[in-house]
Amino acid sequence: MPPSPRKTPPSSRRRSAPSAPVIEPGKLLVVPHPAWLEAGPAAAATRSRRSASPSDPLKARALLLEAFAGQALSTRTRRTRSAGALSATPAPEILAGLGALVMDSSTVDAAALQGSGRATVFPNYYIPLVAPAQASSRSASRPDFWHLPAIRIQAARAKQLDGRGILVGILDTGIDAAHPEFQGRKVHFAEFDRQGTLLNRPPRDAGNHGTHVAGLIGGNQAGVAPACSLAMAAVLTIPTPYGLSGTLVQISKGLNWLLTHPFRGPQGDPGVDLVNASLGSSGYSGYLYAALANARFVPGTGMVAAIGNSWRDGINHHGSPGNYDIVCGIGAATSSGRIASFSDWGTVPQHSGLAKPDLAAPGQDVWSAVPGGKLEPMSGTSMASPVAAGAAALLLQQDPALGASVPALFSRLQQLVRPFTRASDRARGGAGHLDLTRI
Amino acid sequence: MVDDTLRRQLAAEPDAAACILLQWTDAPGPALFEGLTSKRQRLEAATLFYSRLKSPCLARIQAPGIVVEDLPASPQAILRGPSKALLQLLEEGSPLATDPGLHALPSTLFHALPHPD
Repeated sequence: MPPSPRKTPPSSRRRSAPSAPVIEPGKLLVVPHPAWLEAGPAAAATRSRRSASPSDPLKARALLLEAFAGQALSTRTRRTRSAGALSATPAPEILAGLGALVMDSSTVDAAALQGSGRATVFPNYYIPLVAPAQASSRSASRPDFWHLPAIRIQAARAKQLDGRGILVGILDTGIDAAHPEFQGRKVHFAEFDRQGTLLNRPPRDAGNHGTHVAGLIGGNQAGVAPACSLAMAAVLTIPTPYGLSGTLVQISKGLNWLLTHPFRGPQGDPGVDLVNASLGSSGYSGYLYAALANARFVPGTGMVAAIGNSWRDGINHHGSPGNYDIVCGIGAATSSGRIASFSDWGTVPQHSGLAKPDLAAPGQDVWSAVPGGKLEPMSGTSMASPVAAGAAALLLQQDPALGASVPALFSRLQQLVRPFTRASDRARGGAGHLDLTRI
Repeated sequence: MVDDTLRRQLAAEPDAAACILLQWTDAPGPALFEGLTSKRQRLEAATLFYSRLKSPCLARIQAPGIVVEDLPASPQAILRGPSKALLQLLEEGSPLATDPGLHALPSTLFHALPHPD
């Protein structure tokens, strides 16, 4: 079988819960290697069948995948098909946006396909739920906000930078707005269902992820910008085997609310000042890109996003939207100043080989708020992203003119770093480790 | 252009309520925002740009049970309704399926990034 897409976590992992991947039998995710897909026999077969390639890249890729699927079938399946028993071989599902196929495991010789170098074949893993983190290896009982000194927050506080006047939007699972971490804070809230319909509900968190993320941006103790205001679009509210999830429509509607709602009244500037998105797809998905197309020109459309926790080395295994060129993608660092093993990295072929993440911030065993008035540690680039978003809020407070240009804001953020000591971390940590010393 | 996954999803449950995302590919260039200094002005310019881009198409979408929701200042709009009716709107040769500047996307799932443990 192919190597697991989720490497064995390091021995220092905190949870004793079984971490062996749970596999749903029956289906395989087949990801053709881009070079093979674009230039291999599948491409030739596609070209020979059609006089011209479709101008739509998604459609063109779907055709290539369709051709590849035919060539990926096992010898036995091909024989069955040629014998006329077509209905006995389930058709593959083409995921053009992801450049992948879902194929029935009975139709593919996974080991042979993987061994041929033409594709990577993944079993149909269940990805663990976003569960409340348990006791931290750093401190089992007392909150430890180590991430704040790790980014040299004292330099910002010395300049009275606390995020005052800045409104940070968040796309997540919701928020426990009554948590002491948000006491005295203005918290805007809107929840959308899977069809994008606005629900008339008071603030709540469908899990605990959103409250934790919000606490790292603007919590009284955990927050990098503890005086900022928050706008939470609860869009990850659907329980799935992969954790709390949100549909494309749900997320698009929430994002549109964050970018256009008159939070400051009819006379004030509409929309938030920046957006944090600790969410993603596995691998590149262009579906959200167009929704952020204004980011180059419209202040407040800038998004800071988690780069992904897939433990995968190499190219193009980080998630969208963190791997978009118009988004600031954040990797996770440990308390010892190393890049966390789970933090994704690599280049993005869809953006001319752009290297991601853009920078790294504390993201392992990071303490913040969880519903019920508690504080707990969690790990993930989901945690690193709001730390960086909080720093971006401090920059906007310090220099409101930065708000006029999202690229200028992110460029400035990438300058607020210190280099990683080890070469291997430098290769995976973008511009470096977030460091506010020179704010 | 219609994402292949979308047609399959809608066809699988023709009587179910569904929603899809229409997404236009055109985006404003820097010239649109020249001389506009405030965020409000820039957002209004984007809203007008996208309204002109989307409204001719959205105005033509008239089918029983289909509800159109425009997302202002963005290249997006949501269509809600029975899968069967949505499928008819997206059938081969229809305006929605043949406009190269328009993508009809399935409402796929994005995830709160899973805990790495």
